[in-house]
Amino acid sequence: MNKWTETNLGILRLSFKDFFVYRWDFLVWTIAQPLMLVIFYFLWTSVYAHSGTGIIQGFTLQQMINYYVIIMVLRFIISTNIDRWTADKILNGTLTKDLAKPITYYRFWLVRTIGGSLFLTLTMGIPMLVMGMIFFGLNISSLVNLLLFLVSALLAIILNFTLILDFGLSAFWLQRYGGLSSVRYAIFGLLNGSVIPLVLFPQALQKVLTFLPMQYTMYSPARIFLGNYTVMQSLFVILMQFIWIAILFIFHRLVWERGIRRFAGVGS
Amino acid sequence: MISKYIKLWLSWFKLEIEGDMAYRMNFLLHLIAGSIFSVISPLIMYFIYNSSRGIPGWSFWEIMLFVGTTNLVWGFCSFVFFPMIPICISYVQQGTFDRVMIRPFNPLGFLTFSSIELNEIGGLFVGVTLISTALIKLKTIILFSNIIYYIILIILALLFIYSLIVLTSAMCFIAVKNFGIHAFIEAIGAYTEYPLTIYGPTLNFVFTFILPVGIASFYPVSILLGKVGFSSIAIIALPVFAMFGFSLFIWSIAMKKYSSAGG
Repeated sequence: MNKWTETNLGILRLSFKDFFVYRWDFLVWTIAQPLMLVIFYFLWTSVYAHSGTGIIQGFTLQQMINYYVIIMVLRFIISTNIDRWTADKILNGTLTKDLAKPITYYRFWLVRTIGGSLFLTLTMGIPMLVMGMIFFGLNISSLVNLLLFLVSALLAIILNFTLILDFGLSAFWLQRYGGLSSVRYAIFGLLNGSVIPLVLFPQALQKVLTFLPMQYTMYSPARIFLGNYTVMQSLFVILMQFIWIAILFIFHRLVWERGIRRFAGVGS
Repeated sequence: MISKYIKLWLSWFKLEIEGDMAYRMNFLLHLIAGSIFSVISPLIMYFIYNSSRGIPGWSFWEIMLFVGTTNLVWGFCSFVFFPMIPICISYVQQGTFDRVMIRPFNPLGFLTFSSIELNEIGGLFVGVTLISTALIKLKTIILFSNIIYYIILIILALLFIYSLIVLTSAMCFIAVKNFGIHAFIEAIGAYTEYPLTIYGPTLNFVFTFILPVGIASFYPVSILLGKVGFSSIAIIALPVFAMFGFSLFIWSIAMKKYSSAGG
């Protein structure tokens, strides 16, 4: 086994251990998340029944519920608090410990995040998908879509991580990060499609969102899974994910280099 | 007796303002974030009503009144009650709750009147704005008596959420750790964002008599709009008082179990 693989496997093991340390938080989160799914089930069942139409903005009731099942799975998979952790480390000076590691901050935490996502996929994502299939009639539209979804979901993890980390780096220039973090959380929650499918937004806003990275973290991968996109459309989503990862990574390097020059390591 | 607690609250309020003013930009961003969070529910409703006939039994401006009331109730609680949970977690983990116990205050009273989060006031403003706009747009004649009942039910709603917070805080003392239980409060909060009628008869019963989620906005708004009668106050008040009593009981158990060892 070469050193690169050995290092990454070591970090992956660390991320698995995290979940055992915080097992109670994890368990409560695991129970609480499906409770949210139940709300959307009742809400949309009621809306469709009242509207007397089988389709709303191209979604049948079945597709709408399946959308929320996939969104829940994706939420488990891509969730990270890397911005808050990084900002805390910058503000209290403990980033020095990470700087002493023989590996870049970005790579260490990306591998650790992917490890966490892998753990959650195995323990939560797959069981949730199976439950979705049993209770909500969720099905895999085709093997091609499944493969495209897996690629897109992996890129969504990297994209979401890089995007959120970039926000956390603002702590190099701030005295407090909580306010910006809350704004980021609120805006992303609305624009990544996790509370409502973006197809319900006004056309003009939908077009604007196509050029922003948020929808490629949840909304677009979910629609790939549901088979709402053609292969070409799915490949476009994957291309956009690559482009945004590249842009945000370059931005990360520029900000990191400037930020680290300001960093004194004594906290604020 | 009461004045002692009001003085305590005002002292904390002054400290909170001074603390927030030291980091004005951070405070401003928190206000903006709170407002965005509060605008999400009305926006969802706007999109739903824009592309369908919406929720049965509720017109668009009625649902805006509903969402505004939810924001008002939760915004108020986030402002004055919610900080109790992180404060308790901190005391429990550091084993420093003794400092509260030796003060000339009831420990629960002290915690209640020393928890303020000015950052969260954005939701409260959005709630009041939505309620005012919806009432103007509805052009419905609202009986004075219904306004009084609405206010009574809002007070009961605050008592219900306060009970949930006391329960959560007590659980942190019993388990000697923060085990993410606030996720349940968030989930309960999400259930209050939609009218009880969407959940079907079984959950409707549960959310009225067992876990009275309906008090947070469904019953207050229904009575304001004349959708339910005065008897609803009696129906929903009993489970709320029962919940409050239960939370105080669990809190008393938590106090007996407390040790200064930390966790």
